[in-house]
Amino acid sequence: MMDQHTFTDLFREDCIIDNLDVSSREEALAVMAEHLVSLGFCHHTFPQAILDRERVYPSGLPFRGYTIAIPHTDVVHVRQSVILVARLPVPVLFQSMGAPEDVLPVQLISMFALKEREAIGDLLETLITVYQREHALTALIQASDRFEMFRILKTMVLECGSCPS
Amino acid sequence: MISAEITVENDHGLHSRPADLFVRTARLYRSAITVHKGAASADAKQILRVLLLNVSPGTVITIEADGPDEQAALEDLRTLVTSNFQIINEAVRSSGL
Repeated sequence: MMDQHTFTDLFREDCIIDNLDVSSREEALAVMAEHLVSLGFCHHTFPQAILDRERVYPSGLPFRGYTIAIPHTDVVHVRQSVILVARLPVPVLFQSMGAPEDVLPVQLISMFALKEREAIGDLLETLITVYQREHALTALIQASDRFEMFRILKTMVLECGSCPS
Repeated sequence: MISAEITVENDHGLHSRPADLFVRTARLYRSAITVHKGAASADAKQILRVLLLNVSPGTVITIEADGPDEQAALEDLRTLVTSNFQIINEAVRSSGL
């Protein structure tokens, strides 16, 4: 079982993109997934698996204020667990998970690649708990660069162990 | 109001794809639908609430439906969960699956 301390280790400074300037959901997912392949975290099958999964099971989540997407796919495409976070200067549209008829303008994407399938529930609970805190989202959106985003994310996930959901 | 107690037996619990299917199915119905895990509960039509319930494989949940189509809703969700999310309502399946 992974805990909050372990989840903080999934964030890396080279896996924060503070200005992902793209024009579509597909472009965002492709750039992010290829980044994880280039760093050796995922197999070459990962980008296509992410795109295929998003078409059928969309990953937008309707948070208050800013909306988030949490694209991910099966563990078979992953070499080593990691979370890649991208901030978009211009939102792109994602369909909502659980309600694909709802289309959400997404400004922050948390793509995660998990090697341990059993950790997904705890990771989703942690990320959602963090992102439900509007001040955390605002801080991430307004952070000066990826280094500040990295510090905010690590702090927020560590605090999450004791914060109400 | 009617309810059913079900063990979530699939490998993924009620996370990710199963949560998506569960919420899409619940939203087909007018009845209020709540899923309980121990003392915690969630509106079955709200994806964030269902994900936060963090239902792992092997967990016993109670699905509660209250409204004009409660019987059909409960049966549909029970079938989805007990089939390990293989038997999917046709309206959900045709929504892009």
